[in-house]
Amino acid sequence: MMIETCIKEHIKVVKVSGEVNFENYREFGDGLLRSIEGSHNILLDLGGLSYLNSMGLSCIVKAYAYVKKDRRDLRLCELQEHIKKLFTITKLDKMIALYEKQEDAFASYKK
Amino acid sequence: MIEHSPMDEEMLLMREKLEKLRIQNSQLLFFGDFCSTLLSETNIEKISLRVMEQMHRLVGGNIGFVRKEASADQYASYILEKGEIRKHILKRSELGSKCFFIYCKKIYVGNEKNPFIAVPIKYEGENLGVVMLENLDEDSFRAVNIKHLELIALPIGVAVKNCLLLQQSILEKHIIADQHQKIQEDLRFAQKIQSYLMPRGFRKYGDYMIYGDHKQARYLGGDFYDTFQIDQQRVVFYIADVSGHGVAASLLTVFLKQAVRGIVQSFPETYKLKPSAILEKLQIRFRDLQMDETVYIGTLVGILDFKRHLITLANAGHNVEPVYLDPNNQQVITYELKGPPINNWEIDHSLLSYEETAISLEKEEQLILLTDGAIEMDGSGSAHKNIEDTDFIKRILEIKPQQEWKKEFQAKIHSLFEGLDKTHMEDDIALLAIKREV
Repeated sequence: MMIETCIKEHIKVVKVSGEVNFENYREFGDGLLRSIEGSHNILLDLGGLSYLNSMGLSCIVKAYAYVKKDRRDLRLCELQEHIKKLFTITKLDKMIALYEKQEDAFASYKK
Repeated sequence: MIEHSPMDEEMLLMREKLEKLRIQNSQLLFFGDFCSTLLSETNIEKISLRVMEQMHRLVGGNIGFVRKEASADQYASYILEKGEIRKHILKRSELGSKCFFIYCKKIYVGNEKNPFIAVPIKYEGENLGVVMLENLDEDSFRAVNIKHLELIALPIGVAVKNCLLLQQSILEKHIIADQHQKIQEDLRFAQKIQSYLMPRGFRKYGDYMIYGDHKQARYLGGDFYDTFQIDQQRVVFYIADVSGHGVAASLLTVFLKQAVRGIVQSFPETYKLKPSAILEKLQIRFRDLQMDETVYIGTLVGILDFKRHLITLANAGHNVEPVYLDPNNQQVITYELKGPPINNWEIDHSLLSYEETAISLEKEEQLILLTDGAIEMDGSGSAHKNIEDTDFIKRILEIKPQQEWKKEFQAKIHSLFEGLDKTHMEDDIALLAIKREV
């Protein structure tokens, strides 16, 4: 599991790749919280994420809640189909905006 | 009278100087040897012995040595008398007058009536003990001896402190190991209790058989299931995965069991009871707990009406889809059921509703509910992670729906579970299987 960040068009893009499973979900949670620090809106690019378990999902919810409390925004993009299914099953897609492509997410910020 | 020439006198002086140097040299050698022996020793008993022997060699008399022990409020008291050493472990209150000398700042010399020398042993200002020299002759009180005692007290302090620190760390290590063992025992016991809360094995309801089983990981986990009959024709069943693990997650499984049974029992019109209604009420009860947003329960609740041959399911964010199996036709179908987990998220309340799916099983057909440990146990790597592609489902599908099914099914599940090494198993696995027999 790897987390990379960069700032693009005033938005912090947090790219997650690999697997989030029982062994590394804590590391993922801590890394994610560190990555979303600051004043930027967050775009979580999960394109490289091949597996996310229930605890990993809760880390994303925690990050979302953290950003929201800060009056910022967290959106997701590039989710693989089975990861997207997790968000739809849990109806988290109704709470957190999901986008097919990174450019779609950037376009949504401009609206 | 022998007259000395100036040359002889000079020789004499030189000899005296040489003798002095030789003595100083031997004292230095002795001091160096004493220090290196003392500082390389890690056994405090040996150090204590060496200290007393050395003091006795230097000034003679009877030697007493009182020093702190690694345990709080304990002192070791040694007495060297006529070549014999006796040791007692005393509390501070039992030290008597010796206690005063442990805390004296520098070497204390008694008076003519009571001639003794008290050599405090210190390390960086901390008083660690005292060496008491008694029954001394006059010669013992020479300034050079006092100076010598003062000098060797310094490395003794360092050596004693080193040993005490070592003993303390060993003591703490034992305490931590004991505590760790107690916690492990507690956790194992908690795992056992949690295991008893899940009905294991087969239960028959009309034409249906429900089988429940689970394999616990090395940690106390949050996987759970339960089944219970509510009236003459219906059974409530659910499988759940509490986010996280450990004591908190396992306590929430207890909450879940109590809450679901409580909701069902207190439902005003039982005949109207639906899985979605159970989940909505469970959601309200969970929100009363005001948990952190990272804690949630993913659960799949169903009601089996074994007279009407109908299974109604509703999902609250359980991340493993229910699997329908038709072993005769080797058919596998998964159902995508949506619904938010039981959570305390800041979420639009309109989203906290649950859709239902009705499933009918024909003879020999099965409905399998699993937790995500079954996906993670799959040795093929977790990249694709579709439940229907896992070894678990494939192996269940291998079982022929014949008369011996019950025996074979249980044996297969056991062999699947036994194949997992508990010490390396990170997540629990829970399983509920419903089979229509007739």
